[in-house]
Amino acid sequence: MKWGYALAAVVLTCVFGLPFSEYDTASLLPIKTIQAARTADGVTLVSEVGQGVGASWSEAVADLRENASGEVFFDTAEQIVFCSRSLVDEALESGELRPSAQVYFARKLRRPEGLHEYLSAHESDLTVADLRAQQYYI
Amino acid sequence: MENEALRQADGTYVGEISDETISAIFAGAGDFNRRELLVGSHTLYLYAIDGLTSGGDISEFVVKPLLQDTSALTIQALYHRALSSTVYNSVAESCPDLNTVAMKLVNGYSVVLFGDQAIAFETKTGEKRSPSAPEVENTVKGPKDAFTETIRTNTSLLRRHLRSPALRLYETQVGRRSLTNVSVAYLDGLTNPEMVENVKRRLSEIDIDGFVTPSAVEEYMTGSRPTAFPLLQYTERTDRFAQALLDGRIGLLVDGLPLGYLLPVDLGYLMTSAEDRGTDYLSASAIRILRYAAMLVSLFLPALYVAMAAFHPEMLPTQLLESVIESKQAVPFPTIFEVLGLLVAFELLQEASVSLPQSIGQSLSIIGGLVVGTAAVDAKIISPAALIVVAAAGIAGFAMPGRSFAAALRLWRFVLAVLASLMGLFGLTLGALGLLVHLAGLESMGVEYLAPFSAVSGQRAILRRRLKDRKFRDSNLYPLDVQNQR
Repeated sequence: MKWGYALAAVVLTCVFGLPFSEYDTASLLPIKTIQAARTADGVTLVSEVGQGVGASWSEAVADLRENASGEVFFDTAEQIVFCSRSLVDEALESGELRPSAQVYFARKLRRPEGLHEYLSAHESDLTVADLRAQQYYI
Repeated sequence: MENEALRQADGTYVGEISDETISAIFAGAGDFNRRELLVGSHTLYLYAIDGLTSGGDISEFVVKPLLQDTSALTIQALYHRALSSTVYNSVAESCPDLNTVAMKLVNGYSVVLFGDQAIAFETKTGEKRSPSAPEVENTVKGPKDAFTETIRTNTSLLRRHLRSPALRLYETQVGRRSLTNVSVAYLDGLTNPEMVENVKRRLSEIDIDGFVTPSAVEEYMTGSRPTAFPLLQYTERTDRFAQALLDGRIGLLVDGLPLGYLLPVDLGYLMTSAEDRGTDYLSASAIRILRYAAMLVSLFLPALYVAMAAFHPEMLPTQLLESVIESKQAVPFPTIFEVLGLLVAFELLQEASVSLPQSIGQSLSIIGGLVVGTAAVDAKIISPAALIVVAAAGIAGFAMPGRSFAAALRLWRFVLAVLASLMGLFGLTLGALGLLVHLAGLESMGVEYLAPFSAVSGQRAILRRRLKDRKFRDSNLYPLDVQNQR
């Protein structure tokens, strides 16, 4: 009987699929720091693995993924720098940022090289989870 | 007369005791010796099996006194005098039937036939392997007398460790054709008698040709449950065997096997090492914690790596993920095939080294593990991370005290890795739950496999308590004498 339950679980998984997908580890491009700014072209995202531009956050992410040399992996992003406060809501709604990612605000986009190390040395007290909580609170 | 005509379906021999029938039983056996002895006007027949008996002892203590007794008028008188006075041999037993004659002969007795009556004299050879140091369960401080292949040597070793008159050795034979001597050891007044009866009953119910291999003992004694986990514990150490009897467990000695079996068994017993009783309780407890950690690493690490790397890379710290990604950059195979392939290669290496002589086995380990492993990493066929994971799991597996238990972990490690490669952490969790359910369903002689982890006696499993605090025996064994010290 107990093996029947296990088999049923496997069958259900095979039928309905898993709530997560398999990655090709070798082609992953983990993002550590991502910068987001609203520019004349729309939304611009800058990271160590490449740059993406689009009319909205989701389009900029799609562009970033398309231009990257591998599979862009957002779940490792530890820092996010917003150069426009208006992007915060869009970024939070996308659900692509991990809750523990530290949030910074800046006036303009910087060169991504060395930014992660710099921000790691100057940790932010604000996280994506905090912003999300504020969003719900307000 | 044909041998088969005398042999019954249950392996016993039926017929009248005569030179013809005895010779027929051993017809074609090159080591079977038969000699006619003329004592006065009577003809006696002497039978023995070369190699099992001592020719010198037979000549000196059986043949010589028999030939000197020429004053007996009848063969009946000769028989009675041989049984009670003329022959010096310390053990002389009358054989009531043909089967007893055959059994005595194959057990190292010499048999003398007096007409239709026979006497068996114990003339066993002294040729046997002396007790040597344990090869697998070697300890720094413990005794160095391991079990041998001879059951009588083993019982004598046990008697030397347990000089208690309460030590009981119930002896029986198992195997229609192998007629293997089996001894059930326990302490009268301590071990649960129901458990002892259960073991005796199981032995009596075994009806097979041969009882000569460890798997035969293990499968038939445990009911051949569909599990890879051992339901009998084995040890080659006599002190460990004796200690287990003192704890209220039952021992099983099988002629021809240089080890003793202990039952019942649970996970706690399997995770204890002979060394635990050789060191202080603090060190032993620390080592045990390490051993449990090694068990978890051995079981889960490859599966966890597959699940994390292939399905949940977000769960890895970024730096570690970067290392993993970097190590996999030029490797052509997906993580799943890489880990499963390495696990298979690891098993192959182990299997190959077992089948080879020790000297070649070492070379194989060096060539297989070091040369091929390094070359495969250099050639970017496998990633260093996967190699490290599988090797770490393998090394952790070697920290398990029993090989049978380690083999079960190896099997489940593979199952978990396959599940993790199919369904990530979901599959791994499913497999882990399945393993837990499987273990919880196992029992050995009525003792639950996970009993030591129950709320009542959970401490016994992981920590080695100081001996002065261990005033009571394991309650799961239901011993008659619960207290082991004041």
